[in-house]
Amino acid sequence: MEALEKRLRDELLRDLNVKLLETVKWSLPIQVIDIEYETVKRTKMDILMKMLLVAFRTSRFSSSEELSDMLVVEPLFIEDIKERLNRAGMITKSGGAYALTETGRQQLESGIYIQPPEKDESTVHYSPSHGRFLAGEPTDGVGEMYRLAKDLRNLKEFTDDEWREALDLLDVTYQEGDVQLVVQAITSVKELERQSIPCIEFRLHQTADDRLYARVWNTMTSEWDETLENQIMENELTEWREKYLAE
Amino acid sequence: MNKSEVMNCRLDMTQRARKEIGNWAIDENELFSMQANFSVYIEKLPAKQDNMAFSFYFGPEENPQLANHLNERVAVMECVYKNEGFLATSFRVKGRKEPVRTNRRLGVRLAFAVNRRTGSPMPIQLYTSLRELPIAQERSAYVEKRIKSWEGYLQIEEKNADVADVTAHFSQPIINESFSQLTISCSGLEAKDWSTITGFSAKLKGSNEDLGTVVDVNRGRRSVKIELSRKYQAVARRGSLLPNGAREIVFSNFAELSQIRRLRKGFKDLQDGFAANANLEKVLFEERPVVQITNKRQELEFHHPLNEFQREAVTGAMSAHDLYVIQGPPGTGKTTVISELCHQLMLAGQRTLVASQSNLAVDNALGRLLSDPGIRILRYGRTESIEEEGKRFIEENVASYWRDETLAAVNEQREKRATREQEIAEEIESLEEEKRRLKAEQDEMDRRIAEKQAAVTENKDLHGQLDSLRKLQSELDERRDSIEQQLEELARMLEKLSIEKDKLQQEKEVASISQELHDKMAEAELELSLNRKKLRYFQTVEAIDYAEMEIRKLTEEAATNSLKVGSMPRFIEELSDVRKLQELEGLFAAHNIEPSLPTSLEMNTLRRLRVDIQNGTYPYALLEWKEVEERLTKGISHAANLLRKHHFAVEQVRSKQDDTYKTAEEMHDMLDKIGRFFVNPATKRILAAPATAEKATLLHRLAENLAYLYGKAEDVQTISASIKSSSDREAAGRFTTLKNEIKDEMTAHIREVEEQVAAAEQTVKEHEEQLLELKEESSELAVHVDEQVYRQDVEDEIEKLEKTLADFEERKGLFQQIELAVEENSTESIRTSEQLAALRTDQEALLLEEAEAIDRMKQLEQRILTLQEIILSEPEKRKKELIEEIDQKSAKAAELQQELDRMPVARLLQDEWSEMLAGAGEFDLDEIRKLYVKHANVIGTTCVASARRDFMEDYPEFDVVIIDEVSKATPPELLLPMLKGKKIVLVGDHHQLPPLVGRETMEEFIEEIKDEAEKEELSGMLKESLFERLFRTLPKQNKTMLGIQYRMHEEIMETIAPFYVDGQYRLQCGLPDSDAARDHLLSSANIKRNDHLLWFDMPNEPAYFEAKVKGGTSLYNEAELNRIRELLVDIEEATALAKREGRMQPNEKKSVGVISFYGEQVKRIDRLIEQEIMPKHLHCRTGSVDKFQGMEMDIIILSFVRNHHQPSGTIGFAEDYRRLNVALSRARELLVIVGSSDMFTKRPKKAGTKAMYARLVEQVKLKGGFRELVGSGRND
Repeated sequence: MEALEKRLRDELLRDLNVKLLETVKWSLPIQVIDIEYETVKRTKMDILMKMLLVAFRTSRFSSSEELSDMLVVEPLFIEDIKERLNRAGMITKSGGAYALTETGRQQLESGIYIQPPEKDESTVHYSPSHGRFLAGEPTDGVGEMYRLAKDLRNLKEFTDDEWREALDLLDVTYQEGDVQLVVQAITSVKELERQSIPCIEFRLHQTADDRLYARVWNTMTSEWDETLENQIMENELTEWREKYLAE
Repeated sequence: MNKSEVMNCRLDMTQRARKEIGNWAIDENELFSMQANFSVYIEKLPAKQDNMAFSFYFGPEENPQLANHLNERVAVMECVYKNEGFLATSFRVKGRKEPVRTNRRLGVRLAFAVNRRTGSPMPIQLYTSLRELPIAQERSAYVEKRIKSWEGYLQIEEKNADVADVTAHFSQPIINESFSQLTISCSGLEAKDWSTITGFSAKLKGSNEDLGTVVDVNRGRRSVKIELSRKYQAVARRGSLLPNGAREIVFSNFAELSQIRRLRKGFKDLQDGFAANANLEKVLFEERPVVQITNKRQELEFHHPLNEFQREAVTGAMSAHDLYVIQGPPGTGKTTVISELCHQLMLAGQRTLVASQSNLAVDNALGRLLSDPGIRILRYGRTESIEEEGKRFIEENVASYWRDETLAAVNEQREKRATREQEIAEEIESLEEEKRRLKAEQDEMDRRIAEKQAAVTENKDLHGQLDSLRKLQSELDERRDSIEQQLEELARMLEKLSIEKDKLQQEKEVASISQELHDKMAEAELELSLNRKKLRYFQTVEAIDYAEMEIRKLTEEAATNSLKVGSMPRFIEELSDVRKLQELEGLFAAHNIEPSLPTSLEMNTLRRLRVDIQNGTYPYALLEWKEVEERLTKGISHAANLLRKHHFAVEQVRSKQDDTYKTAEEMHDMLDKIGRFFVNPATKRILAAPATAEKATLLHRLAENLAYLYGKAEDVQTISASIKSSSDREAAGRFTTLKNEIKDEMTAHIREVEEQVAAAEQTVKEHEEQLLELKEESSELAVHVDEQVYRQDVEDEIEKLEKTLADFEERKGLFQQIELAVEENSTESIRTSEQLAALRTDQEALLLEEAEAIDRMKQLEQRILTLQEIILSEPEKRKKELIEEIDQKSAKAAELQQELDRMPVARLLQDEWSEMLAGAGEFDLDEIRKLYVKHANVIGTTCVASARRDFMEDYPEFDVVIIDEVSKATPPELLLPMLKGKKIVLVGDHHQLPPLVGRETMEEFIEEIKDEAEKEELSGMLKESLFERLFRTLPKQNKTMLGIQYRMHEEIMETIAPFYVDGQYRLQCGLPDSDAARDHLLSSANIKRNDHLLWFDMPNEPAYFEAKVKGGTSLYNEAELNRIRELLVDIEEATALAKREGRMQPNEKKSVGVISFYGEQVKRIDRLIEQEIMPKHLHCRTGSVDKFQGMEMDIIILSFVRNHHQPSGTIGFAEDYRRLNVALSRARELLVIVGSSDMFTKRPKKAGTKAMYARLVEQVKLKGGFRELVGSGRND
């Protein structure tokens, strides 16, 4: 930690116009959450195509407009895909409406899944101060908490979309040839623990332009954390000017 | 000429061409029979020996078989026009990328008749097209010549471009506080490098990616400042910008060079005829742009609410051909026009390119299109240079953007479904209700239609009645007139009759006869009778004498007549015995009777006939036959003699009958033949010879002939005898007839004479009786006559008496006449009076009838009026409307019903769709991206990026290219997107800033040029921009000016209005109430609610002067910075106050732009805001005036900076009215100027500049917004 701090400090002070005013260390609280979900393997069939097949299987549609209204998709797109399906012999027009052919039915089945869904689980890290999930390896920090930390967020407030985004960060899905593994459903989430990520805050003065600024190194993401820097600068810059530069 | 039409033409070969074809095919016949016909692009070459010469380009895509043979390469065949066909002179095969289709070439489909002398000549339309085809080289030369005038722009950009990459060692890398810049210390750079590498890209040696762009160098400190790309800013944050051991950096001008190369390629493409619109070169370079003018205006339904100017612009741009130019002053809704235009083009199924000089402008324009369904935007360009607004449209983001939008829309529908279901049910119910109402109205209309039809019939009928009444009336009038006339006439007549009656009465009295006269007349009558008897006596005496004389004469006559008969009876008796003519003549003589004329004529005839008979002179027929007889006789004797001479026994020859030769003529012929036989020398020769068999035969033949002749002679005699006897019989008959006639004649004569005698005797008898009577009468009358009475006296007396009596009779007649007249008169009077009475009765009846008719007519007219109203009503029209309306409602109801029926399906599908969208994987998004890109209809990019190779390949052409902020781009930049558009729409404002070259304006750049000639040439180029020239010279159908601005408060607008005065044109404010719409809601010591235009004046004194950073060129002004700090703090506090007082929402922010003419000042303002003021209620943005073009803010603070006492009096950039115009026109609600009015209105050398600023100061003062520095604010 000491070594890291020194390396960062040296780097920052390489500019002779920059003066270090103070270094502070604290911890950023994060929520460690376990997500349980189902994955399924299926053939690569894009959702629009699949949706059209489902629609044709479900009911009789004579015009693209009707489908377009229902799915809120441009008629041009629907026409395009209908033509593709037609050419591939997956649908056929009978009595003014489209219906699935045997091929179409089989393709749709395999487009839904090849193997039955499988359960899986992953651990994700949510930072309330960032309002998003962070990727990286957390180490548990000590000492003072981040002074501008936001309240922890209740898991019930998260949407499935957010969980999916969190999983996306972990790259749990993949594609291979004609087959893709996708997250079918989020089955449950539970908070495992709360952790604190160590951060190093440098308060700096750029003398040439007379600018005060903060640099915060986030040890979990291993980068200068812009979100935190901005929060600090927005809140404390005026204070600093008085504290460090008043003569 | 139709491109797909195949035309036949002959093609001959030169030896050379044949040989060259031989490299690719067996011979030309093989080559040109590969396809039935070829798609050829013909380029015209300069004429060869007065023959038209051409290059034929055979493209591989259009000629698949040929291409297959030529390895997908392009064939080029040179030809000359000869003998109404082509003569190929060479044949080459070029590369696959060889351009085939250009504007200079004529695209045709040809079928070649190879090496055939015969065959039809070239079709006339092909020949004409070839004639008219311009010579490509000449066209290109034309473009090349014209485009020369744009060279200057490229020269400027090329000035530093042609430099090789520079590699340098570096140390001491320093990243600035915002990770946006890297400053390094470089060694090993040469002097010239220091001056050129600004603007170059920088990358670490061995890396492929640029770190960023060199923005500043300081040779003294050997430092180079690099603006990091977004990607490397993120890398820097992770502390891994510079890997360990990185020591060398490479500065490269590649980006700029490639940009210039693209611009140059634009020139070349235009020259080579690759513009999507073939007319582009003429539009750009002709003194008056040549455009196809149309007066046909499209009727459009607008998607956005537009003002008249905007509608005009959209309609004009949609209707125009080739080019349309829109001049749009600040805030006049150029972007709205572009959005609407994109919408209209989308509806028309066209693909649009929206291009602009800067990425920011492109993103601005695209941002406005967001809400438009049906428009699929694709933002093309380097991701990192695209602004936030354009980001979602870049290819890698469109899919998730589309996914998000669709998901949101689907979920919204799902949420709304319950209410929607209810709504639909209600709407259907209300539609049904409406339909029932309409139906009822329709029934009512049906009733009215029937009524109307009845009315029409009745009307017609009534009109008929009315007509006949009118006719009746006029008849009655006529009759009344005639009655009146008659009455008048009768009255007149009655009067006349009474006058006449009086007159007649008088006359009657005068004409009456006395008794005396009557007596006298009776006496006269008696006397007359006596005298008449006397006269009669004298007359009888005379008649007796006469009768006696007559009797005597008649008696004598009778005696003579009986004598006349005399010997006639004897003659008749004797006649019967007469047998001869002489005897008859004798008889006449004996009785002394003269034969009558016909008798003597007949007698003469008979006499002549008898003489003929006696002389043997027979009629002509006999004479004829006589001739024949003579010839026969001669012939017989000749033949007999001949026979005898030769001792032939003639006597034994007997006559022989034959039926041939019957008439006289025929016999003559026969005789002629026999005669010829006799005289024939052969006959003679045979006869002369001693007896031979031949002679014997001949003699037999002669004998035969003789026999015939005998026969014929007998025939002739018979005929002659019959003729003679008939002639004799005729003479005898005639004599007997004559005798009978004489007898009849005589007998008649005798009877006549006897009748005369009898008549005479009768007459005598009558006369004797008369005589007796006369004698009796005479003796009776004799008593009245004595010897003193003379006949003459008696006659005179009778005459006298008769006259007297006649006079009396006359008088009596006259009296009777008068009496008659009187009687007539009275009858006439009575009759007339009666007629008069009758007529009067008629007249009364007539008047009555007339009155009745008038009454009836009035009734009819009243009724007709009522009917007319019914007839004029239009229930049919309303019915039609109603039916349509009902149909519409039914259709709508059916549609809704269907939707309702579909609801369960919709629910099912939408739920599933929502789930699928939410779970869309990478693959799904990629597929959506492909679909989206394929159907993208609005593509946005910068001018220069539109010429990038990959873009050119993806989108070679657009239906319409819209270029925004045209005045900010140089002509070479504009040319790039222009080349791609079939139609081009230019949007800009030439009263705003001209293009920048690199980081400098054109003027600044030109200022720095040392060469005077070059300087002059380039400044000439700047005088009028391409946009301005086009706007000036295009026909009115191809341009428009937007005239209503919505951005600025009216007071702010007034400051720029003078720049736009042009003829009748004035910039108008479209805000109905500027004060309400542009209320800044702030109230402070410096700013009042109704202030919209403020000027915080700085004294033109040293304490307020401008300053320059050591080693730098740009200026700043500390005093103005202080003022700006005060103002910003004031505005921040005022905003907070407005929130507290409820005028503004708690989370609302005022947007404030702080701008200046000078970069250094902007930099200091930046620091001021970020480090010192850090406003919480304001959204601040800073920038140079030039950078702010196209942007707008609620509040603008404009810092002038310039303030000095230098003799030049220069105000630098601020001199350009266009820059001032941009600076003044950015604010919506409040414009605050910080600067020295004295400096700007008094010190500049140019009068125009001083006037411009003086007018501005005047306007501010007029609004009470001019604030002079007093008290604490002064920096004294």
